[in-house]
Amino acid sequence: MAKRNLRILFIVLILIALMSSYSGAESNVSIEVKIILATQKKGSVDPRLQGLTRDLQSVLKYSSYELLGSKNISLARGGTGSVALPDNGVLKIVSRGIEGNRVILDIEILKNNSSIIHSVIKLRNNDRTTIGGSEYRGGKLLLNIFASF
Amino acid sequence: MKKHDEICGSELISRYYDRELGPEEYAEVESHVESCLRCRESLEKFSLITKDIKSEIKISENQYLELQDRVIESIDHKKLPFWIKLKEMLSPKKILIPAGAMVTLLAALVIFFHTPAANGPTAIITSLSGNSSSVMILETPETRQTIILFSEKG
Repeated sequence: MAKRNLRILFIVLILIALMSSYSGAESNVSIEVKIILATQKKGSVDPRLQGLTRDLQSVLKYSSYELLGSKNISLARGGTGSVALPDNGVLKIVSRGIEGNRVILDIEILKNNSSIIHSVIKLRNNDRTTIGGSEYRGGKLLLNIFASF
Repeated sequence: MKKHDEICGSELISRYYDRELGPEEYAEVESHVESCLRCRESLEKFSLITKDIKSEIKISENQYLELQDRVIESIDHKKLPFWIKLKEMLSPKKILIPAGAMVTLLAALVIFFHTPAANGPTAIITSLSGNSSSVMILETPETRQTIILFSEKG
């Protein structure tokens, strides 16, 4: 009896795993965008960015990092999301689908309706990338994009 | 077939009284008791002791037998050497079957939910364009986070 129950439990687990792996291919991509102001002023690091800034500071020269805002977006394949940026800027993100362990994202930063940078990247699941460089309040705007699916 | 000397005054008499013997041994001891005065006296003593104990305890016959079984069981259990208890605890039915099932389930979960180890940069750039004057692509040493830094024109 116990053996039979165990067998049924095992089959159910396999089915759940198969279903979740199948649905994973079609699932939405959750994206979190953090808008960060990086400056060389003698300042502190925003506590909300503690984990992130240590990584950025290893390659960037900025000493102060301030979180100006963040936005969560959920994108289906082909879906578009946008994030308003300071100084009439806009970040547009389009999900082009999932390829293995990465999501293909079409990212464009516009300012006054003019494209500043346009890139297509393959971002690893549960990982992040940072795009930035626009001048703002004596520093640079950095956009940290985290994706999970 | 046991000799009368082996039975007389031995532990078998006590076990006979407690009805702990198998049918064959029981018959042998019974036949011996019929012809042995010493053993009959021993049985009478056992009977008296039992009566004395029962008179001190206000419980029914059934309760008494139940209590006796429990006491014998607990004594038997305590008498077991450590290695036998350990062997009992580690018997295949108690350990190996659940452990095997657990290992199988874990293996199945690992196979189905395992994501390949992180390698390479967090983002692979497949195209890059725009009106910026310069673009720099960096990678952090620890997490290999891809960073795209650009400078605006003018």
